[in-house]
Parts: sequence; structure tokens; C-alpha cells
Amino acid sequence: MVKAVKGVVVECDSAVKQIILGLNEKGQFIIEDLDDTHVFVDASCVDQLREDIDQILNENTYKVEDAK
Amino acid sequence: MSKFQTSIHEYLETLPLQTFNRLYQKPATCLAVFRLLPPLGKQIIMSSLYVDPPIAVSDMKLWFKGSAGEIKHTEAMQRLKALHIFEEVRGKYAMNATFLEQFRNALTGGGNSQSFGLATSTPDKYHVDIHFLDDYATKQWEAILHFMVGTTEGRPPCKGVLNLLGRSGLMTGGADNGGGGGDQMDARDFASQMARQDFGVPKITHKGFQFLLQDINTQVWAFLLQYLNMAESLNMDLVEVLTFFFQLGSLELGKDYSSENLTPTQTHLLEDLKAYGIVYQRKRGSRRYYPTRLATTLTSGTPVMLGSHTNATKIAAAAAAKKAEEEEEDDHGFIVLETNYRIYAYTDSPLQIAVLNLFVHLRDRFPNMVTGVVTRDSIRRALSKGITADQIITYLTAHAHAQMRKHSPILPLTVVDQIRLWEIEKNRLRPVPSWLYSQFSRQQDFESTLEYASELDVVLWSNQKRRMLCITAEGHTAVGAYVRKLISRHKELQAQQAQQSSPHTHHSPHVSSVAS
Amino acid sequence: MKDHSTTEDDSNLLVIVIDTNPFEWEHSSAPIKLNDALQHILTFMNAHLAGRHDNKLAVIASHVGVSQFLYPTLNDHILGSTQQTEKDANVYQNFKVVNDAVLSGIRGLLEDHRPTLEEKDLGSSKIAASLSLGLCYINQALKLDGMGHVKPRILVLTVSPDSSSDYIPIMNCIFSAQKANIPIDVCKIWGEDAVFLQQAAHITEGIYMRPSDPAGLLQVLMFSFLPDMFSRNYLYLPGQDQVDFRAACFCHKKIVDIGYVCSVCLSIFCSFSPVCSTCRTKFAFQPLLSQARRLGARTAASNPGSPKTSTPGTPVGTPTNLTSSATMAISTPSQ
Repeated sequence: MVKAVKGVVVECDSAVKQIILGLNEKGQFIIEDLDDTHVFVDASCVDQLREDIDQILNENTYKVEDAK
Repeated sequence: MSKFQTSIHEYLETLPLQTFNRLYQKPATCLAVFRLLPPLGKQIIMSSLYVDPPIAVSDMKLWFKGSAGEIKHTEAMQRLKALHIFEEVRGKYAMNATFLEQFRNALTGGGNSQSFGLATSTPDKYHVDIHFLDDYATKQWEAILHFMVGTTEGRPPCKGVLNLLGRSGLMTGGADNGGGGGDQMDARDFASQMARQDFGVPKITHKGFQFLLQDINTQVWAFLLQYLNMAESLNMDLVEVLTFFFQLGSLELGKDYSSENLTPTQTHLLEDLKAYGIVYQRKRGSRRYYPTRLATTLTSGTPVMLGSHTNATKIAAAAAAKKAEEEEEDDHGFIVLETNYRIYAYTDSPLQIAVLNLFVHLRDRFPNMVTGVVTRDSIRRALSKGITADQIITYLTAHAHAQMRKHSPILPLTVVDQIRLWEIEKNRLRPVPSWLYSQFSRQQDFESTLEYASELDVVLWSNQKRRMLCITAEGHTAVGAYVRKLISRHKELQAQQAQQSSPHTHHSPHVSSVAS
Repeated sequence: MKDHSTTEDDSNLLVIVIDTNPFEWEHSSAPIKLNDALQHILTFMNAHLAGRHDNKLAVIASHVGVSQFLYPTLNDHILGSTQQTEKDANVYQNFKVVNDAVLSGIRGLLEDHRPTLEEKDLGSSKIAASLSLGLCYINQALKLDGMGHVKPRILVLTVSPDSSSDYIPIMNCIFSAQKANIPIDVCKIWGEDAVFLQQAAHITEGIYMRPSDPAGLLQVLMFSFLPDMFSRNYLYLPGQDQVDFRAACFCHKKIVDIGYVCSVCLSIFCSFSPVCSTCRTKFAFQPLLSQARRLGARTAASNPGSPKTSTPGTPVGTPTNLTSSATMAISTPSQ
């Protein structure tokens, strides 16, 4: 039986992929884990996902600005 | 950069042959169109200008050297055909007769078209020099830009300008009609809305931010193109408008021209162009007008060296009015960017500071300069406004201080790379709406579906082993139908087989229709 | 080191040297009158200026006994090009300024410098002087530009035959141009090939052409000499299959096929002399005299008019004493 599911293919690098997997543990939104650089997710959560990843990456960035 | 720059070509290429035939009646237009061509396109015209019989296609091919030459030739010829300068007739290239005649006139000064601007017969009793014109053009043009960035310098631009800003989607009203909403709105509505007190401040759009980072020449053309679009809806004759634009490009800076023999359309046009600072007229309906630097460099393709409205230039210009041109050229570059991401901008123009503020974290302001840092946050802020890394880099390069120009590359590589990286970093996810097909029961089914989908070029991702593939949203209808057909045919086949060998117990595969 | 690569965005500086030698132009056998040729040349100038807004032009007249700028004129530079020309709505102003300047300049030359017949004997027009002026002008323009976006080239439109007294200055110009990467294009409008200018075009990678029909000058100019440095990368342009490499000797200014070359300063002589007149090197031996005499006789007899491709590298009667200061060789002042 062939199944067709609507969703969004997200192409990303493997680092981000791991973050996505981590986020998925909180709220299940991954429909199918395709491979290292692709993941198939629910269309409704893409914006939220983008925001979350942005935030996580932001926390892990070293900034050059001076303290003052 | 190229987005705006090429648009005048693109615009011209959309016009029908009749329009071209009328346009080419003026030598000035021919010359201006000629200058828009790539170098080899120009050479083709020049080489064939004084050859009477049409040139055979195969002969012209022989002019070009190697495969690189052939590519250039094809490119150039495409443009020439799109502009209706050449036409391929029975294996020969024939030049448009009107263009041929008028372009020859342009070169030899023949004919009597008066397309290069009629000079006034009497001297102007009010003295107008180049410096004054530069000043005027800068003031008018910067007023528009100031209005866009929302600095409260000078009075807001006139209605015509507001119209255009709205129409071109560079700015939208305070109401939430989103980016590019200007297109749907009637021009007049927008202006009246803007004029109303309670309307709120018009907001600059993504497109507007990108616009700010362009060089002035590109900005002016973007404006004029928008004007052309509007002219059609205002029932102005396109040919007259275009002819006038091209004529302006051929005029001489600092000279006055008579407005007496202009058509009513062109007189109206003159009024509007005055508001943008492209021409100067002392008072409405005056018999003479002066083109400013914005006009005379229209068809040159070189950046306008229009100095910004800084005190520094004013003083310098006053000291050496004759050398105004060179001074402004110096002023052109004012930004020093260091490898430690610090930026020093020698300017006191609120406009330039406002533009810098789009992507620089400004820290200190001095009478003649500002300092700031390019940070991840400041760049990300700009990126989120729709400005691209390339635009930022182009802007910084174009306005680099003379001191920086001694280095090659002009900008420190570290900073340039980092800006690019920040842009890439922002786009680490590439989501594409799609359909995931899985659980194919037979490998052939999967493979034929994959083949069919690849032919349609709708496959986003596929995996042979897991028998899964992702199809774009557009491809879903076609591929879905194909799969359904495949399965039903398969089913029929199996039913036949089952009939033939009925006693044989058979595991009929569970086939379900495609879920949607 | 300047960037020599060409891009579409380069502006072009074209220095045109026009040979206005009245003895040639007014010669009864001249296939085209100066007036007509000027019409062609002016149209060509306009075509060059039409190409780009920032294309620059300089025009130098190479007259008999004098060489001077027609455009830009000296006054323009001082007054900041505020030359008042009457405006004409039918002509692009930039074209008009140049055309007027060139025409009035040539008119002035023909009226003022009416050369006498004695001057004609002194030599033909001052091509070498004009080339030097052109090179200086280009040098100045490049210094002002400083960005390497201006691509210069020189175009010589000549009608006069070579004057062998010009050999050394022309050669010096050629080598300067070669060093500065400035191509010298040469259009010999009619007559015999101009040997020195042919070499100039060859050495500087310019174009040399002798149109078959001088009346169609404009088409030749438009087709072969208009392409800028960028376009030349992609076009087939007239080349030279045969270049006459003969040089003129330093002692009698005769064009020689085979001569003596000073091994120290590379000066060329048509006959052997014990002391080099250029660098004062003394040659302590006599070359194989009989052979040298025979060669000398042949050189003298050779007709300078007949172009002959030299065959470089054929050693001629070299003395065995290699440590001594003189050798003989074919003179080939190529790169």
C-alpha cells in the first residue's frame, strides 16, 4: 500500500539535524526521519522550528562586542 | 545590484516593434539605446553601420574568435534582436532602417530632429552654475531618501514623489497592508492617504531598504521606470516620455535648454522630474530648464559622483568652486572598515548615518564622523529586513574611503566572509512543502514512480532502499494519479492471475488508494 | 604592477595621430582627398565616443616639421574645457566639441605651417614626435586615473612614406609603448607599407592595415580599428603574416637587410667602423674583411622599397675571437 503524507521536507546540515532531533523529543513533529540532511516534518511547526533553532544557535554563538 | 540596473533593458525589451520604430526616430534615443548594449553588441552595430547589403548570418559568425567569442556573439545578438535593432531575414541580419538612418545621423550630426536639446537663445539673467545644480539635485534627491528612512530633515517631498514611492512598493502606508501592497493601491489613493494627518507614518518596505543601498544612478532609474509604468496608466505617451529621458542623458551639465518646443506631455514630465532633482527650473513654466548631474549621467552607466550634503563638501566647494567635481568625487568614499569589525564613517549626513544604521551597530558620533561595529546582531537585523549580504558588501565597497581603496581587496576579507557566513547561518533550514510517498509494496512500482516523477522534475528527495520519495506540492496531483493508475493496473493483473490459478491461495497485496 | 586584464567596464582612451603631410594629401595620385578622409575620421571619432560615456579621445596632428595636439588643446586644459562652441540641437554636444576642435586645428595647421620644399626634403611628417606626445598624454591620463580602468591605445593614420631619419625615435617610442602595454594600431591609408610602423604594430600587438580601397576608409576604421581592448579578445582582426623587420643603420639612416651590430649597445651600422659611434666601444680586430666588404656592398645595393622578411639568426662571418668586443649579426630589433 502506498501512502502519501503532506508535510514539509527540511533540508539542513547535520548539526542542525541533531538540534531538530533534540527538539522533537519535547513535542513530536517529525513525521519521518529521512537521512542525515533531510527530515520530513509537520507543515504547521516549521515557523516555530525555525525560531527555536535560531534561539539555540544564538545561545551557542560567541560574540565579539565589548562588554561596555 | 543587477536587479535594478538591468531593468531598463528589460523594460525596453518588453516593448513592441511599433514603439521601437517611433523611439528610433530620434538620434538621441538611438545613441542612448546603443550605450546600453554590451561591448560586442556595439561593435556589431558599428561594423555593419556602413555596410549596405544585409550581412549573412554565417558571415558574421566568422568575425568571432573561438567558443568564447561565439558565446559573446550569441548574447549580443539576442539583445540586438530583442531591441529590434537587427532582424534575421532569410539567413541574413538586416538592421532596422529607422535605427540605421538615425544612428548615422547621431554620429555625423545630420538630420533635423533636434533631439539633443534646443539651447536657449538668450543668456539666463539668473546665474546658475554647476555647483548650484549639484546642490539642488542633492537636496531634492536626499529629501526623498530622508523621507524614506524617516529622518525629519527638510520638508516631506511633494505628492508626485509620494505617489511614486507607494506605487513602486518602496514604502507602504502605516496600515498593515504588507510589503509590496503599493501595487494594488491606486496611486492617487496612496498620496491622499499619506497626506492625511491621522494616517500615521508611512513605512519603508524590504524593497525600500534594498533601494537605499543602491548607487544613485540605479535609484534614479528605478524611479524613472516606475514613472514609466505609471505613465501608461495616466495615458501619457510612452514614446514621448522615453524620448525625453534619453534626451536628458545627452544634455550637457551646466547649460540651459529651452522648454518651448516640448510637447504638453513632456512639459508635464518636466514638472515631475523637477521634484526628483533631475532637472532644475527656476519657476514653474519658465522657458528654460537645466539638467542636473542626475540627468546627464542617466545613460552613462557610471555611478553619479553626487556628493552628499555634508558640510565638508560645502566648505571645500566654496573654497574651490571650479574643482567642485573632483571634491565630490573624493567625498564619494567615506567609510573605513577595519579587520576588527570596527567601522569609521567620515560623514555628518543624517541620511548616510541612517543608512549605515541599517546594518552597523553605531556607537559614537562626532561632528564629522561616526564610529560603529559590525556585529552579528546588526547584520542579522539587516538580513531580517530583507537586505542581503551582497548588498551590504556592495554598499561598503562603493563607499569605501580613498585610504581603503589602496588595498586589494578593498574590504578586509575576514569581515566580508563573516557577513556572508552570518547570512548563510540564517538560512540553515531549507523547508519545502511536499508530499512524502512511502510503503511501496513492490520495488518496480517505486522505481517507475520515481522515474516518472524525475521526468516531471518534482523529486525533492528519494531513497531506493527505504522506498520513499518526496514530491513537491505542485507535483503531487500528477504523481498521485500515476501511482493510483499503477496500483489499479497491478490489481487488475492480479485479479486475472487469481482467476487463472484460482485454487492457488494467494496473498493479495494490501493495496490502498493513495491517501490524500 | 597594473592590472592588464580587460573587463566590460573599462573606459577607453584612444589617441589618434593623423598624418596631415600636405605633400602626400595634395599629390595628384592621392586616392582620397584630405577633406573626405577627415569626414571619415571624424565619424570614426564620434563612434569611439559613442561607445561609452567615459571613453576619452586625444587627437594629434603629425604635420611636416611640426606635431601638435588638435584635441584636447592646451587652452582647454588651462580653462577647464570651457570652450564656447555654438550649440546645435541636432548634434550630440560631446561630438561637436571634438569635431570642431579637430577641424579648426587642421585648418590652422594648413594655413600657418605651409612648409617649403626644403622642409619636404628634410623628411616627411613627424610621426615619431606625435607618438611621443601621445605616449606622454597617455602616461598622464593613466596617472590621473590610478585605478587601471582606463585602457589606452594609439591609432596612427598615416600616408607618408617612412623617413629613415626617424628610425631611432620611433623605435624608442615603440619600446616604451610595449613596456607600458599600449598597443599601436596603424592604418597606412595608401602607398607602400610603412616598415617602421608595421614593426610598431607587431611589437605592441596592435593592428596594422593597408586598406585595399582608401575611399572606403570609414568601413575599415569601424570594422578593424574601433574594437576596444575587451572586444579584441573575442574578435578576429586583421593580422600581419609578413612583417618587414629591417632596421635603419645609425650612421647613414639607410634601411639595411644585413649590417653590423655593436655587441655592447646594439647600435646598427651599415659598414664596419673600428669605434662604435654610440657608445665609443673600440673594436680591437678587423672582421673577416673580404666577406664584410661583400656584405656592405650588398646592403648598399638593396632597395629599401622592397619589403623582405628577415630571417633572424643566420650568422654571418663571425670572427673566431669571441672574447673580443665585436661580433656581427643580423639586426633584428624585435622583442
